Amino acid sequence: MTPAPRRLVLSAADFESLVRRAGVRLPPPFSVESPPADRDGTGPVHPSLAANLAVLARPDLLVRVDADLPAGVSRAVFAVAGPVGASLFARARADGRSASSRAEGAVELSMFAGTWLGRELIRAVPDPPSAGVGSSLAPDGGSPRWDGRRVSRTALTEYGAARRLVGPREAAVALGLTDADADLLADLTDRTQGSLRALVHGRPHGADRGVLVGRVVWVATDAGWFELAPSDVDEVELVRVTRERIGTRLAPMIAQVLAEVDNDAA
Amino acid sequence: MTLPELSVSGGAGGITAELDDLELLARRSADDAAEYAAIDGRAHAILLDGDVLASAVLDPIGMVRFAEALLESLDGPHGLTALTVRMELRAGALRAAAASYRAVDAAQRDLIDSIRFVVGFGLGTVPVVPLALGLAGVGTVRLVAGLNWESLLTAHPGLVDDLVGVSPGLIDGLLGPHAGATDLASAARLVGELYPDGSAVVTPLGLDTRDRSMVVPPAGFADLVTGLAYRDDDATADRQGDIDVRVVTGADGSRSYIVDIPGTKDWHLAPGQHDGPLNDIGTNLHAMGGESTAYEQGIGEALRRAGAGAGDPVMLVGHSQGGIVATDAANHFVAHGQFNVTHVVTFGAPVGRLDVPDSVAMLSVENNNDIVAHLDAADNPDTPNRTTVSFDDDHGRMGENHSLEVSYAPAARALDASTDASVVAFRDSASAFLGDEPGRAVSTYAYQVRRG
Repeated sequence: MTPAPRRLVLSAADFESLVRRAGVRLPPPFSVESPPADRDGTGPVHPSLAANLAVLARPDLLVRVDADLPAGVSRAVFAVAGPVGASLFARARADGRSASSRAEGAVELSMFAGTWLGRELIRAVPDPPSAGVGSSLAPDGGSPRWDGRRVSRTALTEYGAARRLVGPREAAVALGLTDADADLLADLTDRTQGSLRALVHGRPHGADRGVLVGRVVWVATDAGWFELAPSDVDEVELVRVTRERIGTRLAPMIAQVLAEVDNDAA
Repeated sequence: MTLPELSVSGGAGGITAELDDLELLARRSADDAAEYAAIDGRAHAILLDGDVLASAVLDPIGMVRFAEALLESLDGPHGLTALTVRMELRAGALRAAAASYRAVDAAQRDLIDSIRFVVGFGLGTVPVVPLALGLAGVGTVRLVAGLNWESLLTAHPGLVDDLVGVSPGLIDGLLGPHAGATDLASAARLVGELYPDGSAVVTPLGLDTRDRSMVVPPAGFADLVTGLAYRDDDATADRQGDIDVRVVTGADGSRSYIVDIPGTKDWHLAPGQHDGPLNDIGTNLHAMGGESTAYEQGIGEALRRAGAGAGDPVMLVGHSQGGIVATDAANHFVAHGQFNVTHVVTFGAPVGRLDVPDSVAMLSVENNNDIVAHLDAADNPDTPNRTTVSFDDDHGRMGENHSLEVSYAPAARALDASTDASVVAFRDSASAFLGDEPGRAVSTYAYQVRRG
């Protein structure tokens, strides 16, 4: 039976000390920038912790998940090397209880079986902002019919500012929007409260075959998470997703990295 | 003499400078609005001035005219009040735009930092790990065969937690300055940064007779995998995005269609297709993903070109992302009445959280040691129309555990010999596609699906 993940919550000072003693370079935003000067005093690094850090320092697959919501900000990285996975996680809450400085913060260090990656990724996706009472009592449960809708990416980027500058009608005309599209954009603009960005990286070993990189972007609305999936020329498709879908949505990129790394090692 | 082409970033023409200008403009707009508001307030106060009010007793008509004129100049559509409001709106919009661009800029810096880290570890710049680690030094987790990683995991001094989806509860901090994207505009801009635009373009590659699996009717699951693996192997380099449609013609002339959908490779190269800092990293970037919609559109087009009608039985067979696309396509094709998808077979695809129409029989084969197959973090639904076959096959490499040929082909051969009731029922229901009866024939047409 596969062992369950193991986690360690460290203060910033303890985390930085551990990283320096291990002498490893960790992926951003968890890089400890000071040189490994302080190796005295506290003894060797526990082999399991050293292995945990080693996975993060030399991953075959690296996934970074950043989420910015009204309730707070979270940053996480996940690494897989061989059969083992590891992660780092930090969060700053928006309720005034966040650490006032980097030094006061904390970080969670985890190690898990690689096949648990999908379960671990879910932890990095916060719950979307909750719907207000009014929308939750709406006939459609406050869930707009956005799923599967395709919209112009230019309009997504420009509509909000244009509406504020020249008004909704003029903005819709300027962007060539139908009434339905303008309504959709107004609704989506008003109800978007945050975003999640997931980056997937890999680098085949050996010859310079470049770096594999993929990105998934979700927006957090009071009706839940929606992915902005590229679909056509200047067009994205709105795909309704849930926290639990993160692994499935990243699967094509993760599969590609694993295949490329393996091909290269073979 | 030919002058060298220059590449310039940063400086007065850089995006930071432009954002500073934008914010300056916002501040000026806000200052202007404040100034207009102050004048506006003083002008409105004139109407309440004691002397002016007193004059109304002596010349009430004149007072009304004066008040009307003043209010028109202040509150009319072109008045000072309206101008103040417009300036405030403008300042707000400019501030929001600047914040959005800064958030995108920050996200791009994060991307570049991550890429630099990836390039760095690939170059072997990681220091050697402590002596205390012994044989389990940096990289040995991956490199040393036979390392007992499960022992290391079990000996880890941390807390045990195997709950799915529980967010970390004790964490607060260790974040540097952040300017994350919280608005729709920023998120949409980020989508466009990596992926070039394009529509699904399907190019017929003709009848494929190069492999036995393309000309012999598939008798069972092993033949399905052989054909899919052949297409997967073929879909490399400039053949990426290849799929095929195996047209199975029965002895009675009936036709059924099997679509082979490999997992995708990198379809786009980011450098050269984008301006800006991504080109300055000094390594080739291969952008992944973002293709599922185009892929699915291409499958529909390929089926039409192969002659499939709305009533002909269709089986979609996919590996990895191909399995996800096959499942999504089955949903859409059935929901819109485009094709009569009756069967879906997936290998190494995380489909546990994907719905399947009740009318579609689905068989999913998953290696317990395949990371990709378990990215859904969920068991496949146990329903009458969904059969999941799991097996243990650990080759010590993530890619091989996910490989069609290495891991899934042997499993498919075992599946052909299986007498499990669910497997037998699926095989029997798929007789339009699988079987070696006399008179059955197959012709395979290959297509390339790209965003162009």
